[in-house]
Amino acid sequence: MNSTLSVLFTNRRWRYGLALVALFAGLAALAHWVAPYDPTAQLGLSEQWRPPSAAHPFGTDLYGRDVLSRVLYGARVSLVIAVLSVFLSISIGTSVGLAAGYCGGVVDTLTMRTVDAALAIPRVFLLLLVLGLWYGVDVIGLVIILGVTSWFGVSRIVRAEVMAVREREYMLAARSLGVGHGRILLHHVLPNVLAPVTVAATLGMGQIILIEAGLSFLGLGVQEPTASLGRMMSAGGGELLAAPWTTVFPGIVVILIVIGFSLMGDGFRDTLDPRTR
Amino acid sequence: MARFLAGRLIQAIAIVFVVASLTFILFRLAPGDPFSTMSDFSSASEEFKDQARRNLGLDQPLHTQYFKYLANLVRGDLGMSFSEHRPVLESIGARIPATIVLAAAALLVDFLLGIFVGAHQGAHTGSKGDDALSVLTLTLYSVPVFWLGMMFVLLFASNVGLLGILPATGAKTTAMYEHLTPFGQMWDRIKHLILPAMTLGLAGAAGTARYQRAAMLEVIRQDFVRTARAKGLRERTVLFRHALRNALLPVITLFGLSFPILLSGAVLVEVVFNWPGLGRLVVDSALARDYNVVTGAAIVAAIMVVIGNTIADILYRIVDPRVRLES
Amino acid sequence: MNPALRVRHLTTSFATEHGTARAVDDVSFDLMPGETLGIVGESGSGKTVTALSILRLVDKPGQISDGSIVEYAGKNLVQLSSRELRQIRGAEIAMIFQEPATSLNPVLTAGTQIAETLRAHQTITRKAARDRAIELLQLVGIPDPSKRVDDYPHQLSGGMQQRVMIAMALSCNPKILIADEPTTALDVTIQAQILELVTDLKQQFGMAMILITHDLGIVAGVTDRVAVMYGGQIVEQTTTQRLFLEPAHPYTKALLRAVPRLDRPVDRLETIPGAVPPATAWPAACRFHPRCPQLMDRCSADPPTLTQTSEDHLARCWLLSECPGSEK
Repeated sequence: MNSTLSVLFTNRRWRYGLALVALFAGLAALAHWVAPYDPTAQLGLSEQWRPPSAAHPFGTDLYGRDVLSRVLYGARVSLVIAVLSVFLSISIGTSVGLAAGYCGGVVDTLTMRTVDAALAIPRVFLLLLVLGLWYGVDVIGLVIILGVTSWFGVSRIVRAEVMAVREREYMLAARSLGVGHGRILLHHVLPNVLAPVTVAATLGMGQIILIEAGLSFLGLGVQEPTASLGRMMSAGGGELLAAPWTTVFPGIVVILIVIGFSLMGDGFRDTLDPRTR
Repeated sequence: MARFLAGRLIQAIAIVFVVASLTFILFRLAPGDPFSTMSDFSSASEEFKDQARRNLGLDQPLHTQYFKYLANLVRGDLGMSFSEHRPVLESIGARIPATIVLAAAALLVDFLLGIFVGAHQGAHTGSKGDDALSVLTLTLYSVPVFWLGMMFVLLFASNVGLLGILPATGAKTTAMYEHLTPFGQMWDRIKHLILPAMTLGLAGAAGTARYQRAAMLEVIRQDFVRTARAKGLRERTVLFRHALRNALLPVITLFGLSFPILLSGAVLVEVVFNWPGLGRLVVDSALARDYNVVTGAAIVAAIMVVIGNTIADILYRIVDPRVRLES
Repeated sequence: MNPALRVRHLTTSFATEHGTARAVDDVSFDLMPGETLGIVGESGSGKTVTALSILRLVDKPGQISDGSIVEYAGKNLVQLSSRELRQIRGAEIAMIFQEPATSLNPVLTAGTQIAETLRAHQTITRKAARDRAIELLQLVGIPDPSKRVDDYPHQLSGGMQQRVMIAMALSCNPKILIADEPTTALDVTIQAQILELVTDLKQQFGMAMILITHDLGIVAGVTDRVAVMYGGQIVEQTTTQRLFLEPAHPYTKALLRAVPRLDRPVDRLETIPGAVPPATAWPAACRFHPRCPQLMDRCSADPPTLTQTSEDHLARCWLLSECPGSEK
């Protein structure tokens, strides 16, 4: 694992990605100390929609709240949601993929046909379906819904890897020696799926951040007064035109974070498969 | 080809069946029913609600409901829209053309631009231009599509944007539209289409370009490209006729896979630009808890995805002689 | 008589992460009109890069860093503009490759690929180019050419694919044909057919040919002269007859010992111990010395030069200048 890490550090894209992600994760984690204002403090009508200035580098919003402070706290909310949902979706996807690939037969056919169907429903439609049925969700609910609707791709990747591993000699050897199913999965299959799953997880982080932003923009994600980056961009046409900075800055932060994860994912994939370089 | 299409049709029906079952399960898993959560009915008496439930068959056993639901689906009956007071299929049907126009225009931008940029990059990897375009496509690939739309509004929208050159709301001018000449009406619609289609198309083009670049890079080091050079062909012929033709094959697969993403993006773009399509309908319905419309829209979207995949498969067969002549 | 191709001090280097690798290092030879020159060596010896360098087909990061390649009319290919070079490629100097399966474009028909070569160099209508393509397919022995002209490469067998490649190479009556291991990827029975076809057509078209191969059997049967390559350098160069009768370089001798022969009983074939090192790690001084059975102190200290041992016979080995004639 140490050697993998040192190889990763020689990859330029992975390093840049890590730097971007680390920067924003750090700022978000330290938001309490870094943010100049309380993100929910309404500084009064006189401070409404102030353009960027020395006091408010990113300006203020409709309620006179400091946009920079809200962006920092918002990045925290978005990142926490993304980490938890990706963890959930990777866990489900890996389990399902392992089960389908390892059991084969009817289990495999049924799960994979279901995954095919689920992948045919555009993600936003699927999320609207779920969010529309469950009335109003909190952050935990949102994490669960995002996680539960995002594992299909991962299960396919894992299943394919399991199928490939299953055919290799050492698996036959292990089975003929009477090694239990659990041990085979744990010691032979899991290490092999680790790399592609890590790539999927890294790229998934960026995707979830974008999706969460989209849902919050539609008014179905994180609810006020919690600041998530998506929520901050959803103020509507009036605010967009009157105070563009309230939308522009959260958007730029989302882009930079997502670029960071994309670079990390690309870099990781490059080191796994040098041909794509 | 006929057997292939028949196979695809069966596959498509299977997928729609599973999608319908999934939506039914989700619907039943949800807490309460329309009458306990929908605000319109909060003041209604329990008696009235029970009557309404009986009318909709919500009091019957689950499997009866399920089979009824499937039977209705086969007949194209997706139930009634609570908020629009008409059959769901009608509500959706009224919105689909606008979404198809938007999606088609966006696909055009997506693939024309994506293929051109990606192929150019793949043929000149390591150059300054390639590096600059890589940064640009990576950035565009990471932009929330609705935010991109809002930036376009700020820049281009008439009256309010910096440049003020293009309409940014709706599919046509509302007030004077009837008084325009047929040509004027068409021009009006095209002008309204530009910003939403560019937004959705550019977001997709970034992904397509990244994919096309990788595909081109893979093809350009193949032996037959060297053969083409050894024959004394122009570099342009080598790149476009020999390399790109082969590098387009994986992009056709991407084309098939891009439909779910395209439709997801269309939902957000339609909201930003007030585009009267399926996306806005589904968002409004989700906010109004109009379940039948949301489930119906999900099924219709899945069908559109399956159709898109089939088109891609057919295209692949046309372009790649190895697949075409196999069967 | 002017040579058809005169190569002098050709050096092709690759910039890699581990430094610059000279895959072809100071290679010189003449190809006379109508002659067949064999370039022999193990894989990694630089023979294919030499062939590709002649038409400047080496892909980045490789590039010709030194030397000249002058064709019969006096043009130096190394210095031509890409436009002028295009007029040479496929028209005056044509090339066929090792893997016909991957060297043909999978999405274009055989006829299209032949016709476009014609159309790149001649003013000719689509119809005429197609007719000529059918004639060429007939010439290279493809049965039912007017039907096969519309076949895609995957519909043809390996031997047929190579015949299409040959038809394509001959389409513009080139003066020089470069054949890079043209039979290596084919079945043994097909190999002989293709080889015969190539040599027949070479006669018929009056071409000079450079034949790249690792197979000394082919060298003996087809070539007039031979250059043996090792480590990016020519280590021995002479007539085919003399190479087999009086090999001068230990590497050539080792190669010859590794060939099964009918004229004497063999218990087991000898092999050359070790493998060709990569171009980034070529040994100093004599590049063959780590594998050489006749290693001397001097071999690892100074690089030997290509010296004349007898008339029309060059070899690069210290044995020859130390005590000529002692090694027999």
